[in-house]
Amino acid sequence: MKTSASTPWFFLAPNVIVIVLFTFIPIAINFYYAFTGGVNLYPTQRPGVGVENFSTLLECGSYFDPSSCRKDVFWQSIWNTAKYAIFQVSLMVLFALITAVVLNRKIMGRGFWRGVFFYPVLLSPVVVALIWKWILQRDGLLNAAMVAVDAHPVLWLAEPGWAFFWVTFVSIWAHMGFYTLILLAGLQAIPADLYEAAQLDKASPWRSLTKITLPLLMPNLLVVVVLAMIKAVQIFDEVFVLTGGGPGSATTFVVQFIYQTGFVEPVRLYGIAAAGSLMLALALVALTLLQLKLSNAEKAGERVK
Amino acid sequence: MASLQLKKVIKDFGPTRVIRSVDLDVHDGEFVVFVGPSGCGKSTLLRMICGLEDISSGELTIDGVRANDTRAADRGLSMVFQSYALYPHMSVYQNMAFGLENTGIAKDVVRTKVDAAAKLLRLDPLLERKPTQLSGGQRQRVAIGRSIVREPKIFLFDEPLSNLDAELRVSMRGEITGLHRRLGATMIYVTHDQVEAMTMADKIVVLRAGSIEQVGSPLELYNSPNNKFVAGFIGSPQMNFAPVTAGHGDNIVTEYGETFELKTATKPASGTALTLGVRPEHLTLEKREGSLALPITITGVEQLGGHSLLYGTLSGANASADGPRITAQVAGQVTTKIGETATVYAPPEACRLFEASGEERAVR
Ligand SMILES: Nc1ncnc2c1ncn2[C@@H]1O[C@H](COP(=O)(O)OP(=O)(O)OP(=O)(O)O)[C@@H](O)[C@H]1O
Ligand SMILES: [Mg+2]
Repeated sequence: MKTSASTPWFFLAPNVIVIVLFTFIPIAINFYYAFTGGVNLYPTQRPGVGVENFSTLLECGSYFDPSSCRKDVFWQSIWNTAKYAIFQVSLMVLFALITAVVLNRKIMGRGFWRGVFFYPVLLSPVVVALIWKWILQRDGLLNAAMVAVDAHPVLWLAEPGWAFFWVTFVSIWAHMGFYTLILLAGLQAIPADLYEAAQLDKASPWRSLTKITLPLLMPNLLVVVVLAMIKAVQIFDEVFVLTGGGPGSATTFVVQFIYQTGFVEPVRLYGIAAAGSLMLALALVALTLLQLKLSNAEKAGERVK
Repeated sequence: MASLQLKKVIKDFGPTRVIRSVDLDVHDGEFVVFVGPSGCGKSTLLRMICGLEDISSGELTIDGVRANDTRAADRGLSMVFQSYALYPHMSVYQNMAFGLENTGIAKDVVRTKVDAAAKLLRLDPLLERKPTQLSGGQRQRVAIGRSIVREPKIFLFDEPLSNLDAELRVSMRGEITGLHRRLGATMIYVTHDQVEAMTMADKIVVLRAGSIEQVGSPLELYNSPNNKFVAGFIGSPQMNFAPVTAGHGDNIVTEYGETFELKTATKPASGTALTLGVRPEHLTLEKREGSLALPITITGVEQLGGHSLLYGTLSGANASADGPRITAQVAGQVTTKIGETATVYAPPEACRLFEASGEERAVR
């Protein structure tokens, strides 16, 4: 049968249309908004302002001191996001790795434990946040338990340090299962006879882990770290429901800043929000390139070594 | 260097008994081959010996010391896996050095030992390569090298050549037996290839369904198999079998009514069903005095130059198309064609007799 050149497009069309409508056109519109100013939503009523939105965001006495910046909340949110990404990703990957290594053993009720760790992943982020809000709020479960053992209740979500801790903790709890699963798949791809050979080679369990498991799992670990980074930089929904970004701006992250600037504040600065999201996009592009580079380096290494 | 004994060794996987009471003595410096059909328990037995699989009951002793509960690492054995199980992220050198490094030996000692093993196996130019950059035969040698550097008491091999092509197999076979001669080490070698078993072994252990059928030198097994299974398993092409009946005295009666005298020690009662066995290489086309004549219809001819293989079905008086298959390996070249009938002759000294039922024990 002869296929005309247009046949493939016919089948691709539904996808292409959806992607163009809901991805590419919004990206183009976003660029337009980022370089126009004012408070009007309708594009033709927006005056062009060049890079003014960006310079407003970047205007800063010192980037390490958000209060010296014109958009102090923006910089606060950037630092929050950076801090969150580093803590959340490193702790989560570490826990996911430990969990995966343990679950890869022949332990009792292995299927059950796998289910337990994966279960939170199935929950909607809003549900996750609500569950933990009930636990952590002023008269929540945790404080009830503390009162029951004669301890002083703590305002878990109203003290900046604790709020940040719980935001990190809850997101680790909610997403760890997914990364555990990826690492578990990686662990299971390591042939069992390598461990048998290592056993005969008198390798201690610790050396089996560090000399065999970890090197062979490294490609999966890198993917997991970068994926988790990309997700961490985009954190929004759980935290928004759990703390609303507070207290103050202690748990306000970049996406929430963009959302609030564009859609919540009485004066809606679409231009600033659009410029902020372009800068966020830049960070994500950088991370994605890093991931591609890492996985290519991995493949090239295979060939050369 | 060491000896090894298995006493009434049993392995159960849940309700299934995979090894049924195996007794075996392996002497110091011996090359022992476990051979048997797929699934008979060869690998399981080997894994029990090296400690990767525990022993359900019975006793394993190494150098006279009970080793059932000794950890695999402490038994002082090494194993070459069928899949080689080389560490893919390590170089050839690291693969061979890993076992020594784990024991905390000084770096320069490790290097000396690995270099010596590499030299022995002609791996010295490949030390920096990764396993993926090696050919099958080279990987095989690395796997053996990894065993050698640890100077184990006993070398275990689990079908180490089964992933190689025929030619490489023959040369690796030579390398392994050469190694055995040079090191003088005890080796236990698993294969399902009876040619490997015949050419390499000091002692062959024929296994079937988890039991030992016979233990002996290659020629013992070839010349005086205990039963029909061993007779059929050892030797290539396979031994021919034809149903016969015991007659009066030392006579047997073939399916097509011929009576023939074969002396047996036990003299089965007249009328007992027996199986006649004769190896293809013992059949001839020339009639000789006192030989048993086997009329066959030729179904295939293979001319190999130096010798020829004739395939046929036993015909004769009450011939049926699906009679017993007979293979004859005759010297020189033949003119016989497919569809013709021919008669091959079995000299009485080459004829074996087996019980036709039960354990099919040899009666002659
Ligand atoms: N972990 C296990 N659980 C249950 N049964 C097993 C297990 N390992 C092996 N068996 C069974 O034990 C029997 C012997 O297996 P084994 O691997 O020893 O065979 P083998 O002789 O090495 O065969 P091959 O020549 O195919 O390698 C097989 O029937 C197999 O199905
Ligand atoms: Mg096997």
